[in-house]
Amino acid sequence: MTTPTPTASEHRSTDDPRITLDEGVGVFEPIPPYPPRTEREAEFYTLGDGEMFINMGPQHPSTHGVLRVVLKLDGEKVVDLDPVLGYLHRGVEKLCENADYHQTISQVDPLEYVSSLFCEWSPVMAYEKLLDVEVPRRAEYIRVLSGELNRIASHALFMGWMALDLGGLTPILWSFIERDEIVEMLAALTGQRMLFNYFRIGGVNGDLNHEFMSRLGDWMSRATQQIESNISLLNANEIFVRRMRGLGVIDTATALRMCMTGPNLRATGVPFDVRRAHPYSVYPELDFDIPT
Amino acid sequence: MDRAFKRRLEGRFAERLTGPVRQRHDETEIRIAAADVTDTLRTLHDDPAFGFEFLSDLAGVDTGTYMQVVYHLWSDTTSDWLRVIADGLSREDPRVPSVTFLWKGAEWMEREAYDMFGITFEGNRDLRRIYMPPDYTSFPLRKDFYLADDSARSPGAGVRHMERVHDPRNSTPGNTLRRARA
Repeated sequence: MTTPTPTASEHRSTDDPRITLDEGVGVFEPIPPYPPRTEREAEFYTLGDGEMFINMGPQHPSTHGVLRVVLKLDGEKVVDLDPVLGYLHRGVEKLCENADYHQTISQVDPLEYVSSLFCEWSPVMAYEKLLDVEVPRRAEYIRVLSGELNRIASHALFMGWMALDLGGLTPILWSFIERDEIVEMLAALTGQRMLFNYFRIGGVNGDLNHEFMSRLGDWMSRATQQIESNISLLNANEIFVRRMRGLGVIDTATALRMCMTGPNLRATGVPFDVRRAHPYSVYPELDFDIPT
Repeated sequence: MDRAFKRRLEGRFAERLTGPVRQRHDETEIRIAAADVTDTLRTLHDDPAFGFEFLSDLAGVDTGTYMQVVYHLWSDTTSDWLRVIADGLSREDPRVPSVTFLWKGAEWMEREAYDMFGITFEGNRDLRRIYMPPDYTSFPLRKDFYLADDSARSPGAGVRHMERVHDPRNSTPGNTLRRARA
């Protein structure tokens, strides 16, 4: 272990990617190096009595995806925070503006790589509306089928990850079993495990095949029981329930004022599910509940 | 149902509409002037006959000749969708009143529209860039944004992957090009 440590005075090429510790690369000062641009920024970056700033991220184990949050603390209590976004901004709109309609389908896939079929679905539907293209019913059913499978995989992963962040290792392994089966199914259907690039304007890339159907039948025969045991693993766990119950309760008025969507809005009692509130594809014909 | 909804809109906002109430698929669309945004959206939000309490999305649009701000609203009581378009903002200085007094969540949507199109939302108390870096100078989704030119002026210009940033301001291709021309 006799690697010579480079000193600051030592001349190095500008192309040398090595970073020495005293350079301060990647050190984020919580307070921005320019005067406040808005009223809110001026208010946030003024410290009250006994308050302090802590910078969290942009690389931090608890921030999935690159997000930086400046926290204002009073003792151990977070009294205010300023999220700094844009570290993951890839300019997808601009990319799509400079691409063909069909090319954009693969551009939007990685926006949400866990349930990427839904990211394909919305632009494809927009193009169909703009071009007045009618989608065959079979294609619509294939879309719903593959999309809902993708949704189950995504929810399974969400539950597992949530438990993992609370320190439980088992649920993530269990939910990865479900997810892997679904992902294999979709791989048989689309040819890809993650970024499917499956939907097309006016339909889908390929028809249902034997491997997909047999895997689907296989999985469905035991899926309900497995998903229920996954749920009971969390709901019957006292540590999990005690940590989650009564946490971050939001009332309906606040949720609407903050423009919340999805499960968070439904949890406050508003039965807003886009499949019902703004029916598309063959969802009006299907029977399902909206949990609120 | 949609016809009745259309009549209600026309009856209530007759003098404010700058175009006909349009219907396409299951979406209804009205066009108003930027000055009427505050009153119209407040009526749509507060009036129990409409009850548009949910702002689904807010977006800026650059048509090439003028700018628009589009509000997508959903009503919990009648489950109608409504698209409100604040039309005819000038491209030189697009200004529209903020709707953050009705929806606090619109703050970030307006920040995004400002960041991408340079639309000023009067009354938003946190109107700063949201995605692009603070020292970025152009508005990338405007139609007069020329990709190669403007990206060469941005802070990340000329930085290759795995390359250290030393003095990006003076080593961008754009600057080199400009120096060579001068």
